[in-house]
Amino acid sequence: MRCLIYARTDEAGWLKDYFPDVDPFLLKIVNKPLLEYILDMVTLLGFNEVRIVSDNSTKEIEHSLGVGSKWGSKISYALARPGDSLKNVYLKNHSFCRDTALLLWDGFFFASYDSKHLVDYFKQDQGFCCGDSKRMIYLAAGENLGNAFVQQSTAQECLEIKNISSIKDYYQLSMDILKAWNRNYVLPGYTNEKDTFLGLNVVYPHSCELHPPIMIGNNCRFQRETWIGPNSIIGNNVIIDENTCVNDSIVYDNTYVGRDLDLDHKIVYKGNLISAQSGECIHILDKVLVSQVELGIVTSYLNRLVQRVFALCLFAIQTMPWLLLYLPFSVVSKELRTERLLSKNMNTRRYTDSRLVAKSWWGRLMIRFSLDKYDLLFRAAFSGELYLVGNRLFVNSVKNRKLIGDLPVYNPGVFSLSESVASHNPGVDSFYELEYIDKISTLLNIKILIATLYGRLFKGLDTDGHN
Amino acid sequence: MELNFKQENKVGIIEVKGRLDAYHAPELRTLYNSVADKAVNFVFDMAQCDFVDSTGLGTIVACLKSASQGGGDIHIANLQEKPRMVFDITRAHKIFHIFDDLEAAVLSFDEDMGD
Repeated sequence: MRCLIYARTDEAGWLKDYFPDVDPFLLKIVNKPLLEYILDMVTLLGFNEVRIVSDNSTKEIEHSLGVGSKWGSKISYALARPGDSLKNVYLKNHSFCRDTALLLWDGFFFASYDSKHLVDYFKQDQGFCCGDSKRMIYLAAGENLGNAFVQQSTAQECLEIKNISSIKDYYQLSMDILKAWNRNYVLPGYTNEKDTFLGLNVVYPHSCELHPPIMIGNNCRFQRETWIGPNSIIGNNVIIDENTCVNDSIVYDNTYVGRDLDLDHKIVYKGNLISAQSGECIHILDKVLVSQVELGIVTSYLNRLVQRVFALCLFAIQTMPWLLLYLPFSVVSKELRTERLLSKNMNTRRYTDSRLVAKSWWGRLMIRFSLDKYDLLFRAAFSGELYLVGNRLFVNSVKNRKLIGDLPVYNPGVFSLSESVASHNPGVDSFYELEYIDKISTLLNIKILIATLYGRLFKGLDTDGHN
Repeated sequence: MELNFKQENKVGIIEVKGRLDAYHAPELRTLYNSVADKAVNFVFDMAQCDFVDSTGLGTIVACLKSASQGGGDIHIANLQEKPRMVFDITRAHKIFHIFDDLEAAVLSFDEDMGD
């Protein structure tokens, strides 16, 4: 038996204001991603093949759930276009859906169920349908699927759909599960006493007080005189500093909460402080109060250091040819620089533009030795404003501003992936930048550097004038 | 890389085998240009394509632009795991209809996909 989960995100747009970098279906409800609750239910009903179709991205979901061995089932993944209807998604996954009993999960919601009643109901071998046009669970044999969209709800007595359409819904649902339904679901952590769930590697001193109902994730540190609970959910990798009180609140993963604070009916997500009652969200800039726990900071510094050393070497090698060949060329040439975008904040600086340099034979000769990169290398080596290899350093234009705004990160470099492959397909810049961001590694950077220097030396500048 | 072209139900099917990367992408563009007048709608069957990079993807997008200008569309069928990850990270799935079955992809041109 198979289950198709259409992880449709069009009803979850509100989450971006509060949890900007969390996939809606990986939103943690009582420290457990929503999709894991869905998979628990699907497994309970005996479905052993699951396909998760996302209109957003499956990358994070795949990373979190893997192939499904945790549930003893086989999970596959597929992509849909935003706005695709359930019927379209069914057609697009026709090979998976045909010739079998199929459970369809469509939309962003939580299913509250009584496991015993649900299994009993399911054993009666009757198709069931629950929900409305925007969110539903539907079970039928393949040939009945055409009726999926006109069925009336039939399983209300054992299954209830809970909308998560606002931060208040999210808070209420989390508290309901923690306080009243925590025995209905498999929740993370171990428990010695009623309504208390503790993760691994939790450290707290004798002066810290924990009051159930409470859920604490893995790798948490509470300092002295802290007071946690009742009705509090603390995520993984959370630090709560001295003399702070957290009750009726949710602290999301990787968050630091400062000292002498009183969190009451609040949700804290990294630097965001959210009122669970009004839905107001404040981004706290003062990292002494609340902030994100920095991850991978050492690797980041090391990568930056290595890039600066390489940039310095190249800069030193180019100094003499630049003085002899490029400096006289730049004196006799007109303006060779254009304004470039340096960050997602849209800061700009003027740098040499290879397309302008390439207009004369002398300039094209300079490009073969990458002397047009000299001012960029200076910045990469001494100011750290640019990486040696990074995202493409875009010219300041409306189109490029939008493109940079859509990228998850933008760290421009002297050399880039798009320049190294010298693509001639217009309008696909974002593909190169997104691929680079996803696959970034020291080895990839070295390959890009070598490919670009080699390509420039033996082929000159490509027709797009990447630089 | 190996490319084959056939027609089914007035839909052009281009079968892509092997690696669709910066080195091989121009071959796909050349083939597409040579068959573009034989059909309006196309399906790229990627069942035996085990690698796509951003240049290969850029070429598919260029083919889609050409098809759109002629009032047609390109659907993708049987996308394998690694190429799917490239479609995912580059968000190319937001511009293509991707099917897990060639037959469904061909027949889908008769369906209203809500474009």
